[in-house]
Amino acid sequence: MKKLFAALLVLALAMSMISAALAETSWESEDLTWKKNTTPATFSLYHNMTWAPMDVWGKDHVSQQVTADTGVSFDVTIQQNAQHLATIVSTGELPDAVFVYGAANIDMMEDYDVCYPWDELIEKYAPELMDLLDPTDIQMATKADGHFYTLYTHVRNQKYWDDPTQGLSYGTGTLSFRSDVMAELGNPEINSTEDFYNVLKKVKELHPEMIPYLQSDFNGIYLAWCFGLDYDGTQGQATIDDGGNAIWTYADREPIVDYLKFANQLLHEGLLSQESLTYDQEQTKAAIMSGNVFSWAGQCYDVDQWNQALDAVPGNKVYYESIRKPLTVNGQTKMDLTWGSPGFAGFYITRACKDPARLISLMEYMRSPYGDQLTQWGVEGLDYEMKNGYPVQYDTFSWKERGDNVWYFQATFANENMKALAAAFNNERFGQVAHLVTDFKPFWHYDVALAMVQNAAANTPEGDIKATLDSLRTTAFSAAITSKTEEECAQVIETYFKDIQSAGLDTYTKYINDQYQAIKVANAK
Amino acid sequence: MSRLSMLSTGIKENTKLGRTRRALRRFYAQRYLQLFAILGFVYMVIFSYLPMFGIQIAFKSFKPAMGFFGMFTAPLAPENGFYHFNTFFRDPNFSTVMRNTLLLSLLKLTLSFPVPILFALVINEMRGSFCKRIVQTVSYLPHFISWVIVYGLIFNFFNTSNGVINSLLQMAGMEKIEFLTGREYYYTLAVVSDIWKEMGWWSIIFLAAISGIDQTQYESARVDGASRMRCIRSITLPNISGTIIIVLILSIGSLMAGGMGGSNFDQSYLMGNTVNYTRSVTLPYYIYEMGLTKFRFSYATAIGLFQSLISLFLVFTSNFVSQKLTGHSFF
Repeated sequence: MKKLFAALLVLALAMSMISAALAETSWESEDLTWKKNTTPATFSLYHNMTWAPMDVWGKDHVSQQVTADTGVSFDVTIQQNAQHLATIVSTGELPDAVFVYGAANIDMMEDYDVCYPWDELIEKYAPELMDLLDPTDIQMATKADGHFYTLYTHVRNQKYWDDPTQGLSYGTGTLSFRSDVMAELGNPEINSTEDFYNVLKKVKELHPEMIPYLQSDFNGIYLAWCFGLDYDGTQGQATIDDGGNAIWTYADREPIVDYLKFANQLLHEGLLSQESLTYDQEQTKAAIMSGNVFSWAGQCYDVDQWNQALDAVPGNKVYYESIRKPLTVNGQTKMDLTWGSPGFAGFYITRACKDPARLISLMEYMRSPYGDQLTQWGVEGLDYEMKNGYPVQYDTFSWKERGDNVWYFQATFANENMKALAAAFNNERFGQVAHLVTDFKPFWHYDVALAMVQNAAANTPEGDIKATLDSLRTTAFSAAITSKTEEECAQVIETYFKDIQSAGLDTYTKYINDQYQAIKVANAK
Repeated sequence: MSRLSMLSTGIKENTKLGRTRRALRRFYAQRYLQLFAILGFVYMVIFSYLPMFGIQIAFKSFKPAMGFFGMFTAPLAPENGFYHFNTFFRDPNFSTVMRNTLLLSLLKLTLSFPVPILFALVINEMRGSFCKRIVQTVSYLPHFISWVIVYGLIFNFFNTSNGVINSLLQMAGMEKIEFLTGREYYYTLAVVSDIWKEMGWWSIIFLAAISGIDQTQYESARVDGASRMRCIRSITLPNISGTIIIVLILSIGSLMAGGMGGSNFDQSYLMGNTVNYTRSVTLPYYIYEMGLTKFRFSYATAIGLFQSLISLFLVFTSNFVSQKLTGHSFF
């Protein structure tokens, strides 16, 4: 009898273990850590998303819903100046949580003495979360010390990239033209840089008071991409050369020479506004809103946002249309961009937090499809409605300039892109972004190994070299574009390539390429 | 107090205790003035001397995450602690930064320094006191306007979109000029705006010195037939030469910051941009850029220490030279 009882007990235990193993954890499980504790709790939060008007938690639908679901709310501090985060880190006055973008800020937070590593918190407080996470996301965020201190927002993995219905980021660069002036010129085709140049010349003749082309340093990268310069959004600003090696993007000679000479020609002939090269986003918008700009380089979503703003001006006739393909150069399409960015921003749980368990469980909530959609789309029925599977947002919740929230602590790129694609359903006139994010996708490809290359940390030899290279690049590009003569432009470019070499380019190239090759080998296994 | 106690007190006055008592009595008699001095002294200790402990990070590999006390515990930088200094000397921007700093500062010293003196002489020669007061007041008002406002004015005058000057040029059928981004215009804008802003304020010091000159000297000179210019050359200028030398020494001491106005940083920060960077970047701005935007604290501290050492050298040298040549010195 005893033996039978023992056997039955062992069988029962084995069955329960097997059933537990077979039962998959899912985002809908009732056993998720965040669901077990929803008592009210308030934490301090610092963020640097200064373009958004969100400096108080609890006034918008999204934060109210998050608090209703999880009990968590925040006392928010927004960045006051560029050195704000460094000041609070060095004085030890850290808030409980920090949500920031920007390589320098991220580098500062990803330190064992400053923040809790998520791997340790997940293992201790929310072990089921590890099963729900995409291993690629973890790989992207894992540092040299083996820990990951966040999971970056807006990460794109290969599966997403291969999905033909998914587009690019709505921050991708494009070129826009005033449609009324184009009509005046007879709607000429602009397929190449030569066409672009000719149209600008005609505009200058017809409208000498108008700025033919406005290109800010901040957003004006589209033209450079047309000449074959790669995207510089990776952590190390790396691109891949013909030999499959990672190099610094701004060491790629041929596209840089061609682009700078062309831009210099535009400026030399009064077709490119020199002053606009120094504009920030607000100044660019102010210039465009003045109605005195024929064409400008900017981000995809800028077109719709600024067209909406112009439309609100009584008597406005100005409307900008974006080009939906890259310009060819000497008959060739040279745009060939590599997406290797690890993500946009990170949410960090600092060592000052007395209840990191609660915040890591909040991250579990935020990472779920429900939390992701809530924080990026808003509340259904209040902020958006679904049309044909896309979240079409109401006008009272414009997804960029008004009402955009910054509580997307674990946003995925897929849901952000759904908003962009939905724009076309809302209002075709202000929905160009929906087409642009898909039109340009064929000219991009994805390199996950490049996305995992780590940034050179500040105050390291490679970090110091990188800082010097960045400084040389910024100075040389401006100097080349604003050179008085072609010869001076060529001289500036030659000096630039010599200077970056002597600044330690080879050392930095080795640093990023060694990582890249090692990651490729590890991923292949 | 009884005679005996006074006698005993008198004996005690010659001892150490007596001297202390005398000092305390003197201090008490000047207590309000001493309070001013003590407050200034405390301010200087807290904000000028205590922060000097931070200089050590110029020789270390400090990171913000190390916290405040990390300046004591951070490891020594490579190259025996001189890594950051050598990095600066090897920096491709080193020659640009030093050239701009020295050229701008020398231009300001050469052009800005004589202007307040000349202005003070001119005001002193004005007869109508009402007009004199108006001119003087209007001239030093720009000193109280921050550089941010001044740049706003400069922007409104000189930008290419709707600036006054460029609009006038366009109306005259001329091409617009890129004053704000053109590298060739930066030095002119910086020096002229510095003169405009500080001329009136600094002339107050020279006017005060002029007002202290014995008027009988002028009367005697006029009796002897001296003209106005002769009076200025022979009486006014020699009498205020001491003030001029002191101000000159102070200006040379803060040469790296931009001389009398100390405006190099403000102008670089506000009027500098990516296009005119090779002309606008100065040492104070570069320290800010490296330290507070790139978070290279040790590197920025090393550059700052380098700047301070140069300034110290300039102060002592100019003081020594002045003493030898003119007999006037600051210390």
